[in-house]
Amino acid sequence: MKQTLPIGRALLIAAIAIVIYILVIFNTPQLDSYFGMAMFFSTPLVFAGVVVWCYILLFLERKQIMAPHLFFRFSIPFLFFSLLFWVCANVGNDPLISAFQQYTFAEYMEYFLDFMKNALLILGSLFFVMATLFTLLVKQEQSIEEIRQA
Amino acid sequence: MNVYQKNTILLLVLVACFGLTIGYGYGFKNKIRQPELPAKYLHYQPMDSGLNTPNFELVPVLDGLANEVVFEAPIHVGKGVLIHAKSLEYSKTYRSIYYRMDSTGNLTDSLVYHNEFPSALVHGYLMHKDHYYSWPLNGDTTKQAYLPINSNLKWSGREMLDNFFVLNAKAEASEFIKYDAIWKADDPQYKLGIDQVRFLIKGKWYAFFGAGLYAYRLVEKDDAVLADQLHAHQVLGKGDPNFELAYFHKTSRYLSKPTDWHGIGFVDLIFKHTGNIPTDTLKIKAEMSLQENVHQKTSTVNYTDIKLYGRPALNYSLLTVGNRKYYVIRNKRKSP
Repeated sequence: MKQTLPIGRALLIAAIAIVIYILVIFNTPQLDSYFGMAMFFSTPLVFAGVVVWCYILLFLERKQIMAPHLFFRFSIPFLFFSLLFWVCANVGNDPLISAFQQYTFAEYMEYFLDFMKNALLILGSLFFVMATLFTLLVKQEQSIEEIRQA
Repeated sequence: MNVYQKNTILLLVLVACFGLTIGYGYGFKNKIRQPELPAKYLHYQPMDSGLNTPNFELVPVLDGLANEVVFEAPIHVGKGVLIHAKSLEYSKTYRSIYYRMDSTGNLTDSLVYHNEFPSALVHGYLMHKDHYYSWPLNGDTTKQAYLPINSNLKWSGREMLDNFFVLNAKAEASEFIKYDAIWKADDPQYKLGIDQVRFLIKGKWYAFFGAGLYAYRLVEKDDAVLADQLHAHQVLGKGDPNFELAYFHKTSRYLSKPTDWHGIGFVDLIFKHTGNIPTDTLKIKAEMSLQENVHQKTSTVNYTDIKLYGRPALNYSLLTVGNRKYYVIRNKRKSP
């Protein structure tokens, strides 16, 4: 069994994902205007990223690295990119959680959960839409070699 | 192992990575590594708690936070002190308040101005354009006019100057007003450049007029305003002789500057006595900041907010925090 994704379908996935992405960033009150604008102007980048990601996913599934299932198609990239953003946001001169503030564990977790809430809204919705559409639109092709071998 | 099992393990690894970053951040980057607060500093009290020693007491007297005003440095008037406060922001209800403290450090009176201001405080008198108040000295709120000496400009030239110098020598205090501050632009006096000089003679203010008198103005250093006796910062224990910083305990790091810390400073406020009374120490604690100098391995404690005012002629000292609160430090033994 071989999966393929025609470029037209990949572009359709990206187009729908972009609509959801814009809806989400305009409805996220936590994003201050500067960050919100940055996210809005990175829309073309996100569009290209979605198309590229569809083919990366296709490649990873062909190589038997990623499981061809909606749950994994959503959760692994979501957690991976959330972790990436989380780590990037907490290194450097102006970390998301400042060092030596003596927060209680509850306060510390509140900051973390606040981050995860935003990540779930933006990255989560994006990857969920992508995973769902990918699952619906990916073409399953039986190769002639497989039938002969069967 | 099939691809589903591999992906499940990958998911768990990702979740564990989140756990590790939180564990590392909370465990190693959140707590400040410093010794526990030594027991001898536990009994240091915040300034609001009514500190007492056998000889001294520290009493809160004015709270600007409650009235949305900010205080200025105290002014020594007569035997007491005058503290000027003004609204934090310019608005319709802009207020300017004078508080009067007597010779024992008790608040006795206040004078509130709404959208109107005295132009100056000279020798304990609140000066306005056409009148003055002696309220800072005696609590009298009646408007008093400047008694004119030569409003008809009967003298001029040499004669006018001679009279001016006679009065100037006789006066305890004087205030010079330039012509453009008293006359309208279409007044003949404005065109002649007639300045006004106010002389304080035996408790009354007199107005003297003459062209070009403003040039004789002497800028005297106003020594009525009390000067802050603290240096605003010190390397632990080496700074202000009667405001000794005994210890500093960090509470959090500045968000923008990794070398600066918020914290609590523990201060010995020392009062040396004359005669056989031993030295007295008020032990207070207050919020301060610490700046670490990495290259010289020293730390400087900053307490720019805290100011101590006093002078030998006064029976008490005044302590202010951020110009928002005033405390009086009184000697309980000294009878006024």
